[in-house]
Amino acid sequence: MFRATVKALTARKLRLMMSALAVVLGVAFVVGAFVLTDSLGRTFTDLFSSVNKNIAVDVRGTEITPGSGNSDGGGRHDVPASTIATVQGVDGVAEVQGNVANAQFNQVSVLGKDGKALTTNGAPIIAGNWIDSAKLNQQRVVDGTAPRGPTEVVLDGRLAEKAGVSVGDSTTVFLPTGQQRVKVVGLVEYADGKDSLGGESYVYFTTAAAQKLLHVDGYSDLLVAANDGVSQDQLRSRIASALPSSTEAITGKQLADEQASDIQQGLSFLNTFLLVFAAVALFVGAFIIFNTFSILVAQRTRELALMRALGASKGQVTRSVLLEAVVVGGIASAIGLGAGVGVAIGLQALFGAFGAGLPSASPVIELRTVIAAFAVGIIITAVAALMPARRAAKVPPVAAMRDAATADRPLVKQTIAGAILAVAGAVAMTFGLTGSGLAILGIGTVLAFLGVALLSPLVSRPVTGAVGLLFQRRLPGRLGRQNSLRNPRRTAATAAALMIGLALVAAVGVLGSSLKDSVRKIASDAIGADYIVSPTAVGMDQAAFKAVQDTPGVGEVTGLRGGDATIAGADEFPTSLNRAALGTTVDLSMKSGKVADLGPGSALISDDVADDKHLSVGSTVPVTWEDGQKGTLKVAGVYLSNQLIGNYLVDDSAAVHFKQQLYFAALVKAADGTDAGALRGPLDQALASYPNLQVQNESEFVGDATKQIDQLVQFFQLLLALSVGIAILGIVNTLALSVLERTRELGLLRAVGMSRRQVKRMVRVESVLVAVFGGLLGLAVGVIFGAALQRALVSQGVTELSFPIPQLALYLLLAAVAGVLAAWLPARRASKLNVLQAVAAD
Amino acid sequence: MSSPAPGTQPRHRATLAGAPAAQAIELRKVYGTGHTEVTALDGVTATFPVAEFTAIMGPSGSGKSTFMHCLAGLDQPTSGEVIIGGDRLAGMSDKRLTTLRRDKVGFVFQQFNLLPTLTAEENITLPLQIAGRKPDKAWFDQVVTAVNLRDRLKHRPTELSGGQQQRVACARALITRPAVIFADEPTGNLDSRSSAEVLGFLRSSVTELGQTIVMVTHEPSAAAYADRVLFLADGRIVDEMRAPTADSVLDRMKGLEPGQETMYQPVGA
Repeated sequence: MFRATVKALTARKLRLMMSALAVVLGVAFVVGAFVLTDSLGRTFTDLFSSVNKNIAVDVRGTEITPGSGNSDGGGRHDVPASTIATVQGVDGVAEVQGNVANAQFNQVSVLGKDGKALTTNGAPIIAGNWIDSAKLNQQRVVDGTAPRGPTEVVLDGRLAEKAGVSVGDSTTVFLPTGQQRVKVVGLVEYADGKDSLGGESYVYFTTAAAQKLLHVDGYSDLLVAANDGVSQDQLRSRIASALPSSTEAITGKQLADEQASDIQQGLSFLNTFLLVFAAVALFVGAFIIFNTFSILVAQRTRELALMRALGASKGQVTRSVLLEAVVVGGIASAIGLGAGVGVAIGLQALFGAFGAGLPSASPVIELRTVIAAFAVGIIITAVAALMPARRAAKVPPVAAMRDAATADRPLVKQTIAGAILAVAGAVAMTFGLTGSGLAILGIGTVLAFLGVALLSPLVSRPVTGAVGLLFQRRLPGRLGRQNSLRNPRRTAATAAALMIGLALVAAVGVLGSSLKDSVRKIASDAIGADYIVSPTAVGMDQAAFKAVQDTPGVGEVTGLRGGDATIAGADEFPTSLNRAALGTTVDLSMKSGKVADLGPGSALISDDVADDKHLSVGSTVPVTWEDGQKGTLKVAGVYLSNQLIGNYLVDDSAAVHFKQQLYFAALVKAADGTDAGALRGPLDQALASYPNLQVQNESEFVGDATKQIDQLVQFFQLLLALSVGIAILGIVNTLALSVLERTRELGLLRAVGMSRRQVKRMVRVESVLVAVFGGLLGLAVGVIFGAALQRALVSQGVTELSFPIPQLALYLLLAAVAGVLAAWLPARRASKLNVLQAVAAD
Repeated sequence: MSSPAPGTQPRHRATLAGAPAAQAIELRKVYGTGHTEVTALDGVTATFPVAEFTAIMGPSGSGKSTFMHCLAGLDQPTSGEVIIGGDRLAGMSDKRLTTLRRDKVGFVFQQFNLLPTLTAEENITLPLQIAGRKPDKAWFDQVVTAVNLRDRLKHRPTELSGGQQQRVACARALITRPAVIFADEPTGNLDSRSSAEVLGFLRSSVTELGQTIVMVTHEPSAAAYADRVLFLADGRIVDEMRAPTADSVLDRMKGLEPGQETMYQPVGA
């Protein structure tokens, strides 16, 4: 039996490898995800440990709001300046350096060559103090000198290039305390000649300037080097016992571990993200494997029956088909493993193109990756082939004697199973969307897809038949349509693969479109201002705010600020504004309470949070601000949830607690009697010396936001397009097998005078019909998924449901085009058929 | 289109011109080269007059199937000429050969070769549909009546018996009023009663409708329906018999059984 399997495999290797290509791609994506994240993980860990190699102990402030999950130091107390002397006095300390750094990402920028503030999508610009220590600072000044004056800085070479400056030039740095004119006095690089570890950039001031400009009272942390013979642990415990309250000491090893685990956390998110796409690809691939094996088994009915007649047991037949699947899966996995390294490199380039600077990493292939590749590839193939294998075993020995006309099996069982799966999937998805987690949502989605796929043969005849009427005018079209109706299971299974990809693409499209509409709705509901001044980098400082206020013709100006806080036990981001704004530049629809009651010590809250925490007008909630101050807020009113404002609105007087003193937006209303349109010129004029600020009217502001949504949608759809590509392979495969199966018919058609072009057209019509059927199913399912997602995200601000009709129509058109492309080779093959052999073939 | 639609021309142009329906001149077909060279047809010349029913017989390996495939434009002879309805096949492109098969040649195969997705009626009119023409209603009715399929027109092949399927194939061959119909062992898969029906129909289409038919068969009883029988052996025509009977054909065939094994297996035999 084994030998027969091997023979069968080699005889059909081309066909099998076509279907295996789907598994190859899926496995390659799995491997790519692991290799990419493993490589980056190792590279980053190596980089950090080399940078931190001489740090024996790190002294830092304790977390202000424990459990806020903010492990980048943003939620920590500063280390008092006097602590340096304390630590220096500890026995075994060789050297102590105070480090000052901006706490949060994306709060530092530098004027670019083009006169605008540099924006960074991925790796940040880091501002801090230049530490003059060969031991504790692995960077060195390679050109010019270290900063000495309050406005002197050193930059890394790449940042200097982006900013278009060299040593001796002046430029502007945007900082959490506003913009600062500086003079570049030197360039720095790491000891190995690199500008940065992973694409990040550096601006270093003197310690005093950094403390002032970055708003650090003392130091962010202290770097401690140990004397020879003193262990990190010894030194850490000695230092810890000498430290003042609200500071703590960790060993250099702990610091490295924390950094590594931060990186791992970030990368594991990336890994999961990529694996989701790999799973989609594999899921689609499974359909193709299933279909290929089904067709092959159907075509081999006679051969299988002969084996049964010659004494092979049912189990042997099943095993022989499964063995084929395992071999195919194994080969596909091996190829996928190799291709995966290429995928990892490609993905890195792709992320690079989207603006995330990543260090170049040599591929790391862990044993786990290899095991995953083979496990996934072989198991998926075997599972997909299980049903066809069982069907093969059901072929009665007598079929060897009969003409292999496979009668249509009734769809009853399949339809019932499909309905059950679809309902179960829908229920699981509902639970997943209402908060039971992504895993449940994923399982629900898979079940729903399987259910729809099982149900689809039921509708494939009417739908394909109806669409096929478009091609009814000429004979090749009519025959193509009829061929697509011949085997509803085959048509449906082939179309199902395409359905999955298109459904996901359509769902993302619907969600994106709904998101955009919601943004528009929120903006038009909540913004009463004529203009919005917003920073392209960092924030808007007081001087700029005043410049706007002083612009002739400007009426009310509202500055919005915000910061992290723990309110009523939850991490929140309250927004502060001037009470006068409400009703002029900001429109809130109040459910209860009065806008006018907002003042020091009170807050307006959204109805979401009110419902969630059972709060109403007059309730008080405890608050811990970002600066460590604790207090209470009295609820002055409840407004209809508004994504622009967030959950808590506090009076401007509370803004002193925010670490970030810059405004993240200013809303400008023209003074009474001033034409809003005429205000633009003067506003631009007033802000000419603030290259990080832009003036937009409402539609421009909304346009910016929707553009970002579009980009995100496109990014997702690009990745999902992979699964659509795999589905096209599936159509090619099915068509090729069908053409082979219909050799005699094609020969007859050619013998009685059908031209090659007509034959091609016939195959093409069938292909297009299958593809369009898959497209229609996909759009239907995708629109439902998209709508369900929107409903689930209403409380997150996706209040509007919108269907991007032109986009959806385009997807359907693309499906049809995919059908034409898929038909290319099978049609060619059908038309090149040798007529004589075909009609004479037994 | 290289020729006017059959419906618009006199039934058999060849009749008016006095030319034969089909002709083969010095046909040679050689497979392989050198040591493996096998001569399937060794200079076959034959004329098939209009409205005549010719049977081609010969032992297996005699080249009868190859002869018919070359005549029908399905296979290319190594040398020699085939003329069908006044057109020379030599040097024709695949496109012109396709058109010729569609308009001037009808086929009936041993395996009924119907399209399973089409009804009997659609199968019958298939060549016309391929050409994008409307069937001539009167002619269609006449053909359907002749093959006695009136009440089976809406059935699909799987719902028809073998004999019925073969009659559909015959009607399909007739519908374009081809210059010649080639039938390759048309009764090979049929029981004797169905065979008699099909052969009777072929006979009457020659006698009553003036159709020209060339049939390859190995059954003397089938050959007896023909006007004449051509006997092939080793790629040559070795004899011709007019007004054959099953017995006379059988006698002649006995004399042709090869003394030694033939060296090749003709395609499709």
